[in-house]
Amino acid sequence: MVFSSMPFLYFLFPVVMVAYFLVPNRTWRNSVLLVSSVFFYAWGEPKFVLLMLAATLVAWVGGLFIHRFQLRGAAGAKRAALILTVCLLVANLVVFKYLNFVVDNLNLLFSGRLSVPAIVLPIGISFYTFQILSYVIDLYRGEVAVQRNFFWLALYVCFFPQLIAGPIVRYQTIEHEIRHRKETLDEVVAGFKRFIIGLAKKALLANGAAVVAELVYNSPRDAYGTAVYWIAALAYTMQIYFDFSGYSDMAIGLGRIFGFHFLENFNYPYISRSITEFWRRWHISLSTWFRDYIYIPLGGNRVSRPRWILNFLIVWGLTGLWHGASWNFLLWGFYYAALLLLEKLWLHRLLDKLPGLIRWAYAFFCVVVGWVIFDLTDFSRMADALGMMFTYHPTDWFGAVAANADLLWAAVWIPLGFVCMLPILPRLKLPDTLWGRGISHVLHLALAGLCVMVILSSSYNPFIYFRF
Amino acid sequence: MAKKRLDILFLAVILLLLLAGLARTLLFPKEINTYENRYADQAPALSVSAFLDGSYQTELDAALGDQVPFAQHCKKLYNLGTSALLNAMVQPIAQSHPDRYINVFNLRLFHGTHLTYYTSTLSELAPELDARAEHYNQVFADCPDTEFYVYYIEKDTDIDFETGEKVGTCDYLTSRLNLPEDRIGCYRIDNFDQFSQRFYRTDHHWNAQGSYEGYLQVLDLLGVEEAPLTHGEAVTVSPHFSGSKAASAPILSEPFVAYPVAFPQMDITINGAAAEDYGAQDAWLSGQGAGDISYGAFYGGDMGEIIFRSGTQGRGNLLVIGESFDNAILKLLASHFDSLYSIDLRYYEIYMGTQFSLSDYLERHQIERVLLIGNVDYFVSQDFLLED
Repeated sequence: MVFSSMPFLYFLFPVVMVAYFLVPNRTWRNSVLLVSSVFFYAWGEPKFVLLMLAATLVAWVGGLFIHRFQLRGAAGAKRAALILTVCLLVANLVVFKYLNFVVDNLNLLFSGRLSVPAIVLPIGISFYTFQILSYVIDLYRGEVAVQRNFFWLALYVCFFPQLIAGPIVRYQTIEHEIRHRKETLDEVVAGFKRFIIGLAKKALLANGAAVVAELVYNSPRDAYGTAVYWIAALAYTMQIYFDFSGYSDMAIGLGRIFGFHFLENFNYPYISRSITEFWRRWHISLSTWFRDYIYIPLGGNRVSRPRWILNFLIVWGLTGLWHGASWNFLLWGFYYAALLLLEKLWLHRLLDKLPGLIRWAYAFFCVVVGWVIFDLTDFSRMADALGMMFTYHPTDWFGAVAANADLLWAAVWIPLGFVCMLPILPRLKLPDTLWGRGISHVLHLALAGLCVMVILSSSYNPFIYFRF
Repeated sequence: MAKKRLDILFLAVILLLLLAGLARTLLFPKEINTYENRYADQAPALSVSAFLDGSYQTELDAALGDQVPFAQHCKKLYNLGTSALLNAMVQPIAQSHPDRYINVFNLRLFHGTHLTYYTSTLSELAPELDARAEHYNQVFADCPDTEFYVYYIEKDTDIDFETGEKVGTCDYLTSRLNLPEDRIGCYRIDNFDQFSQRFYRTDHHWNAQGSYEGYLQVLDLLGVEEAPLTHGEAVTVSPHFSGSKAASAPILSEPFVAYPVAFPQMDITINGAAAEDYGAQDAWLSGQGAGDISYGAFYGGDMGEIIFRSGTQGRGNLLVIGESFDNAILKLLASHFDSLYSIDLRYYEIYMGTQFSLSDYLERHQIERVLLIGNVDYFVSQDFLLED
């Protein structure tokens, strides 16, 4: 189930809201959230609920052992418990996400006939595995307390706002709030508004831009010229940002409604003036996760330069692969590794001297090209798209529009995307007066109505050869 | 305090709207989605197996999409808004290239005015046409005492208006039928001018002029020697008609123009029940039409069986087996026979409760002549097979 679907908006969300605020105490409220979260996941993946709960059980048992060995001062056993737990969790991720990819490539490389059954990727496995890992590792480091109640740990893992598309919430972020949080009217209203903003990003902007990108990338290579391929790349750049950050907004908003406070996951990444800055603003929960649990344990930058470069490649290779079991994601990770290394070694000195607009143009250009690599899993399609972008091919504008007039939506969604990717709207805050608040409520309600209208219209399915 | 009340009102409005959607879907579902012209999806019964295989989720999703309050208004408004915006962007381009197709609104816009379907190709249609010809030849052979007539109606799928190239479906089909040439007719569309005069811009049917010409050609095909019914001056029934092709682009509309015709008195039976009229031509022409104007609302919708009895004798009976194109000419044709029987094979069993049997029907109603009439869909779709 996704937040921008009718079953979530008209079924699960209102039912959970009513049930949550009707039951009397924290234990009951947590129970409502846990049951609804399991139901939320089961909606799309009924059979994989058990897998998710099993992974949680592994972390819970592992956590208890780590805690017990900690109390006994058995450092070696504690470390062994951590390693065993981490290995089990990572193995689970590898089998379900990467095994088919590995076997396919081994067969290709060695002309082998290794065969494994086709494994369906469980939704959200990368997100919840990383969350569970953060709990186990932080517990080992003594940064969080052990959670003795399996159900509360399960609530942390399964909590539906962040379950299938993040942000990757660390246990320490909500450790206290699982048992001691306070829902207030202000927070609930703010949560609703944040949810509506996220829904609008997803249903209006992301889905609008997606039409253009998909149209171009699903057409034959020569159907469009260079200009249209750049338009498609821009459209996808808008699509992925508004899609992902919209989802994060919805997750953060839902969390606030139920009294949880997740950390921000996006901070206007497209205004960045360097790639380094971009990665401080984009998918913050993922980049900080890799920093804290992979990069720093590998030695970070307090190692020799070759080792540091190796650390960098490992972290960014893993970052790429985390997004999917496909070579293009690995390439995308290395692309950013190369750009970041370039910036850290040489480019930052040059960038510092350039005007802000040029630095922004450089960063935005690199990001747009990166999204083409990210989007096109088929290498020949990717090569075609990049080839069309970087070698000039004239555009038959009438032919492009005649082939599918939906291309014209680019003229609407890309400029609108540019406006909305800038931190303009938050500056237009209404005063906190009765009128200001009333206008804000009405505007948010109107925006919600617009989103529902668009979502409903996806089910528009007229039948012309029938009659009543 | 006032701010708090405002906040509570804000939350209450959202929650009530969402809960109303759920309540409507589960407790008070509507049966028909009039905007989309189909049965409305209903909430499924929950079972473990349905949940595990995902069908429950899919069906509930569809049901919510049809049942939540204002769903149809939302879709209508969305289609109107998006099509208005897209049309505003497309029109200048279409006007500058009037002789080219533009793919838009899931169809092709030609001349900036006409929504047209994609042109078929004979290689795609040939297997179906061969099968249908074989099927018809068998029917002709099985009913040697009946005169069969075939009338194929060409439309935008039969010609590429950019190149002028025709698909040739009518000639291909008729060349395979074991019928004399004078029992086969084809309503030909040879260029865009002809099409634009005879078909609606936004609907898939022929218009008043097109259908009247079709009526004259069918009379000729059937060898009817009586003078045809004449029509009066064209009347604009409604200035805003958005036909089936504009389903996702209601911004596109056109005037609905019709001919007044003085029909003779007839007894009409629709799906086994006596009816005052078929269609509502007089009502619309006198400004009394109800609801939105449409081809079906004006000429009459698709029915399992319609019988027109003119009360005369000696002019014979005619069976018309067709689809919605013939709706516009049934009453015109009926005036030339003792009885005219119209069957739409898509609906006969639904409305009449029994499967259609051609030989039984011919015998029961003493029918000597049968007209098979329709556009390409009629001659390739399995819905129109004459089961016996």
